[in-house]
Amino acid sequence: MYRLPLVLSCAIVTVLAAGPSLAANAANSNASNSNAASSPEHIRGKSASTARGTPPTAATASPESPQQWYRDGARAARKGAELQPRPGKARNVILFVGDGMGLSTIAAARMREGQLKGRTGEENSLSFERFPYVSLSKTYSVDGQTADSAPTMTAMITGIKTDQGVLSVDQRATYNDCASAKGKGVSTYLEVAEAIGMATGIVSTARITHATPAATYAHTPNRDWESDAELSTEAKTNGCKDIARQLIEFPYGNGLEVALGGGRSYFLPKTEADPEDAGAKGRRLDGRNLGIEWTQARPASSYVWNKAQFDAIDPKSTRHLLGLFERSHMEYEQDRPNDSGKEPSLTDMTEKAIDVLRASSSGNKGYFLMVEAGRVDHAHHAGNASRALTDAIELSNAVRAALRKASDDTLIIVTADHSHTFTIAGYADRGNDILGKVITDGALALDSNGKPYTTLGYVNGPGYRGPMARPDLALTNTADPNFLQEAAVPLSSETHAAEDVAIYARGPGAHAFQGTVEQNVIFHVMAQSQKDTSVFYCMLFGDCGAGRGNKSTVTAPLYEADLRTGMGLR
Amino acid sequence: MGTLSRIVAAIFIALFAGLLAAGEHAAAVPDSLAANSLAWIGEYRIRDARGERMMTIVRDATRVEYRVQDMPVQVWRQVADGVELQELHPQRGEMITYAPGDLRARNNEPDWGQIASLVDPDLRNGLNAGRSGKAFGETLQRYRGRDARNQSIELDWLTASAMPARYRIVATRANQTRANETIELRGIRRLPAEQAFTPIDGLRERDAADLGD
Repeated sequence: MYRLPLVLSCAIVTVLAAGPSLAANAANSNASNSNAASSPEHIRGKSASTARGTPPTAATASPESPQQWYRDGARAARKGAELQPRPGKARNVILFVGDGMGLSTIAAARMREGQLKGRTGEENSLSFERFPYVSLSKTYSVDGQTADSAPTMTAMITGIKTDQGVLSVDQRATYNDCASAKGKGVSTYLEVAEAIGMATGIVSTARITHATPAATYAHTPNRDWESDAELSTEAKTNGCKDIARQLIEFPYGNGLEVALGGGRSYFLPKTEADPEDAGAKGRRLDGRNLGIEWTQARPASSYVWNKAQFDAIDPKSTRHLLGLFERSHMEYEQDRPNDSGKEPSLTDMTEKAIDVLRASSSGNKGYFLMVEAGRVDHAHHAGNASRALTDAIELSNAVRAALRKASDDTLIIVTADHSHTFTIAGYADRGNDILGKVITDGALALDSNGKPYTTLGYVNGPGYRGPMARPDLALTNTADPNFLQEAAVPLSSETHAAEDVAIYARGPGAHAFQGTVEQNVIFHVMAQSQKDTSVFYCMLFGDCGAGRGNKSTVTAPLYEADLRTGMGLR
Repeated sequence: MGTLSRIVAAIFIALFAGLLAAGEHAAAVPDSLAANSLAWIGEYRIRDARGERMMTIVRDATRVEYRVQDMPVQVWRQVADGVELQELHPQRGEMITYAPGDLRARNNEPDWGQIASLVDPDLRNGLNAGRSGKAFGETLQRYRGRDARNQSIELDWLTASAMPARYRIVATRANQTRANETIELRGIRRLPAEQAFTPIDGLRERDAADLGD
């Protein structure tokens, strides 16, 4: 018993002797605590029994006690302090993009996943939340405060910011103007990776021609030019190619090794019935069947459109794999089990992609893989939180699978292209169903008119219930997968939001993510961290590595036309 | 989604308020129709609080097209994963497709039974059958009863084409009976499906999930 005062005295003397700054910090801390004494509303409203701590309704992962909180916090702090950047360069790079997966989505998905495991949820972590390096990413585009997926993915994959609605062309190109985009295409990380002999792949639950995956391999002043049916007369006249065609005619290296996602109708001619839906046809006007062309143009290649075919693929003998599992976007993860054609999950596709890429990596070359959870965004646009969270959790599963499959010398980055107006609000008790109504101190929290409200909501979108009074949700199952969270502003489609999104990273080079960065920094971290691309860009532009002083006469960025010329391509 | 909400509200709520019922319904399409490529075309007159307007319904085994005055044409289609909605905007050269999953995500999962026959099959089954007769060249069965909101319903049902000849929601106020909402069949015919449905070949298809993206 007498040891505590003794040890405490020693500690105080040591700190005081260490310098006035520490003492000053401590004083500031005390001042903060003193301010906190005037309890905020949510604390004042608590009942005495709750203030003492009502046990959560579900079991937590580990017993919670003051001692445990302290030990866990200290352990995390020590681990952070001891963290050393992983030496050397990465062999492989995997970039995960949760489309529209803002910080509120990550927080809610973590709680949802934890609650699905029977826990309170708040203490849970998604797989990538344990990554050692975290930054914030500023997502605005050259001409937009709140960006769409085209300029944001362009930033991540080319290293420059650009305008709304355009893919991997610079800001001098005008949206929807083919002629203006000539010579404005900026080479992408995937193109360079392929050009220098790495294996490359893209995976998405959206159409493989949709903005995020398309930015990796296509250059266009209009993200909607996904098949030739969407090309404008001006685009056709001036020789712009549709996005699906650009994937199939990809000129670098030996072409992408893996492309898995949705969007089958953009690859099929208008005369051909869809294999899963006989009542629907392809949309191409040029009569080309790009799926067949994929297999004809590349040795040891396969085209699959359902899970049975996908499962039958042997990664060891498949060098190029194209999988198009829906006419348009793939199913929400919520609905995937009931899909008639049967689809692989994002995790299934990620695993298969890594297997094929590993088997395809020649010599000492590594691979680059981009994986997009494309439907988080769509569910948010629909005002449907349940589906958005289910797809975000599936992204976490896919990252977990990548961590199992990929070697330690793989740089893994998880981020989002932009956020949404999704909010987590109200003073819900610990362990309250994240899809449920706010319960405070064990009782349903009520609005000014005596009606309950949900924890999750949107600032705008189809969930607007006005103009009459708010509905009474008392008897509504707000956890139903089809329930639309309420929105304050009526819009037919909920919108993106402009706040920063997170970047989580691990592996060689991940320590470069520090503080709040522009979104295009992601490209530069990938470029400098991978052993072959770092050499390539260093030789090209200089100002890197040990010879930081060396300068190059080449002006950045590397335009696609120059890369083609450099590769001896037309 | 504004348009979708408006249409769904207009057709399934304003006309038949409160009649939507949850649950699976077998498609109320006669077997004879599925066996060939003929489509029914029903021309209706609608009268409700918003006034009077015309509506055309075109139906074959797997598709139902609604053409309502001053609204985009809607084509509901049975696909393997559920029911899909195509909203046609010919003036824009565009068609918006709502996949079954996107309708579910918008909490707008449709009831095929009601889409195909205009009247919720559960409601019809709950009405009392009255006398039968002939109309539009086929057998007509008369039904009377009340809906879930206790409104008085009158339904004249064409058994062969499985479409209503007349549907009325009747209100009684101050001992006076008047129809609040009426839908009346003005004519019915059959045509080859390819002639009956609005052609969509020239329309650019957009996925509803991309709206606002």
